[in-house]
Amino acid sequence: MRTLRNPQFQFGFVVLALVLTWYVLFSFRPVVLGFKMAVTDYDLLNPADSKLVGLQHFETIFNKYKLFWVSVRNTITYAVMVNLGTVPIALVFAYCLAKVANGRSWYQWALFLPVVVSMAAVALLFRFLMDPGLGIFNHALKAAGLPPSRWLTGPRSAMYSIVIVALWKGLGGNIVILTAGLLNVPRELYDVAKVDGASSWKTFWYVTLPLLSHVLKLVMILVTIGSLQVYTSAMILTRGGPGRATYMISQFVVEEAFTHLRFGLASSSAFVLFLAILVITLMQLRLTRVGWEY
Amino acid sequence: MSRKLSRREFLLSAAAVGAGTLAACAPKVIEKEVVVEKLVEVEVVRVAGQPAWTPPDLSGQEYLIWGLQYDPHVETYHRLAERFEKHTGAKATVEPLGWPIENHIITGMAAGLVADVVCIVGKQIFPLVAEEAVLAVDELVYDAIGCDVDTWFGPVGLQAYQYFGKTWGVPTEGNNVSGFVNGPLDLIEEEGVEDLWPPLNGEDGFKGFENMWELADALQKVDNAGNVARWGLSSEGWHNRHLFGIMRTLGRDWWDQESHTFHLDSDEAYEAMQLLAVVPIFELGIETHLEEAATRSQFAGKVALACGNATQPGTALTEADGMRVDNAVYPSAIPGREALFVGEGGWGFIVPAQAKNPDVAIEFLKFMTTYEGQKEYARIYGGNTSACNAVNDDAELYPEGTFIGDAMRRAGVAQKRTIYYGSEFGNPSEMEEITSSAVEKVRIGEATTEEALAEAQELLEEMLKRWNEGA
Repeated sequence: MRTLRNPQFQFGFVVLALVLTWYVLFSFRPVVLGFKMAVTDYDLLNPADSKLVGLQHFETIFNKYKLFWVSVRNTITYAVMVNLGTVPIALVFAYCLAKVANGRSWYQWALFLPVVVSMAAVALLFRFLMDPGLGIFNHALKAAGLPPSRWLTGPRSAMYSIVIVALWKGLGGNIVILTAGLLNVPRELYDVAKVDGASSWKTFWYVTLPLLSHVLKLVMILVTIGSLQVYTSAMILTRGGPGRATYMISQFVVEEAFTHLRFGLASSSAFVLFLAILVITLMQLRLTRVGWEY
Repeated sequence: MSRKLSRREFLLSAAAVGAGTLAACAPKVIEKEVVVEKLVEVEVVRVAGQPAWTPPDLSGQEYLIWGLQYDPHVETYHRLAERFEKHTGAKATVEPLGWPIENHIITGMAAGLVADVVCIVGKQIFPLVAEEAVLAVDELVYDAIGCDVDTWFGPVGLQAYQYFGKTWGVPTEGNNVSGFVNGPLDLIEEEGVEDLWPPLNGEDGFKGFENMWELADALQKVDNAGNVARWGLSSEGWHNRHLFGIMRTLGRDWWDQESHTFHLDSDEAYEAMQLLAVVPIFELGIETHLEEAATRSQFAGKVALACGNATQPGTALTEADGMRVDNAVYPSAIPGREALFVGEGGWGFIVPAQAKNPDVAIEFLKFMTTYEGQKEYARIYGGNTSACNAVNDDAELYPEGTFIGDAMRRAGVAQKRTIYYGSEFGNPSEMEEITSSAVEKVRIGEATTEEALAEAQELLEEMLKRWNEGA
């Protein structure tokens, strides 16, 4: 009873209640309703008349929708490319930043700037830059004596192009996280390694990397989750083309729901995406579990 | 001694700063003035089959119109509303919406808020009809005013509003893609190739594809470094309509309405794809895959000829600094034989099932069925192919001897040979994605003609199977 009358407890309760109410209304409830849509033949105008169809929608998208598998393949390709690009590049930048003595915050500010710019604005900008005829990228390639690229209009180059945009946009945030992780490594361990005659590479491999593993794990998981849900950049840059070369699973969901008004199918494919992200994340947590601690 | 900030003071200050920042960042609401041209008095025209509508007195009644957020459309809605108010006294509120409109309708209905009249493209209403979200108008509108729809309207505009044996709206636009080639007259004259542009030689359109390609080649521009500065031709934007039209000219429909089969695996489909994509891009080098639609690329000077849109002449005058763009009929795949076309239909008006003022809305649709309503709509974009056959011959709308008048007349020639996709194959939007994607894959070199058509045939059959199973 004394706890309940404690003003600090009351304050905390009020704040938590507000936040939890928000999450329940705008996060958990939509997820539950989404699953309900996924197992019914959802009638948007008369939801109460929606018939239960069980797993029929899942069976339909797995067996009767070739486009679904096209979107899955493209999404996985995109996620792998973004991961392989983001983590090493962000780590290199973070390592360099951690070494900087003066002006580190200015460099971080400059690297973080793309993160705060709207993805829609970024995508429109890159559409101009990557225009095969008028874009500055091809002018730069020609000036360097290299052959021009088709960028967003080529079947293979389109995927690389949207990955480049994703890297440019997302690197800053990951660099800041990794830099913070690097700066938290105890300096004494570097001194000890130096005294023991360890080279820079061995210091990095045996001291820095293990102690950075938790932060690296966080970055990899966040990048994976974000890249598997890609929508805005692919939609604005290529609209899933050319020839469905960049057609992602999120576009499949949006098209099924808002173009074809098949909300049941859309919800089931969104649910499949949710389960896939959950499984991949759990696998990442398991596989990157560190067997030892300093 | 410095005083520490209490939690309460911090929270109050943060809330005040946050509210002030939000207020300061709120966008200024700029009321855009809609300019409504002075209404032209419509001369009473006696046209065979003309519907007889007697305007009722609806004074004091109000209704809501939804339509596309695009200046030519908004201005047209206001003109139509003003005419309807003159006849009946009912006042309209026009609320333009972003594309796609059908989403606004369905979500509006789910929330209990929907317009009384909606201007929407015919093929987009298919999922709404499937959800029973639209009123059938055969009896409510056409029978009530004695309109024989099969003679009053052209097939392509009307069929886009006909599903499951009923008509679900009033078309106002015929089809204005797939049957036309837009030619920049200034450029043609500058290059001295007037003899290759059919309208300047007394012809409505190109005799064959070779004629069009010859002109495109003459207009293509290459810079000193050997790069193409202006492509001769572009068909970007409405691929599948071109494909289906060429197939139809060759004697094979892409969709057999009787036997319910697709024919993307036919010899005619192969030949059509060759003419549309392979020859101009890979053999002649007069075309390439561009991101933008052909019409936009033409305005930007990236391409010379656009296999584009019948309204390009009117649109160019307002949106391309007065650029003079003409219409010629798209070439025939068999020289000497008339070219035939398949189109996507066009815009028109529907009444949502949950309209709050259905009586006023139905009267509005009756008005839109009349010659006056159809003609007023046809003024959009500076001139448009009407769904109404009689309006396309209107001398005041398309005066002979004027630039726009002659261009739209030729557009009307093509429209008379155009039919709609068909029906009972599933969702038109889904079909368009599948078939346009097939053409695109060939255009970018991602697939051969055989591969792309085989994949499209497979996906269409999969779509039809789901449709038949009720998915």
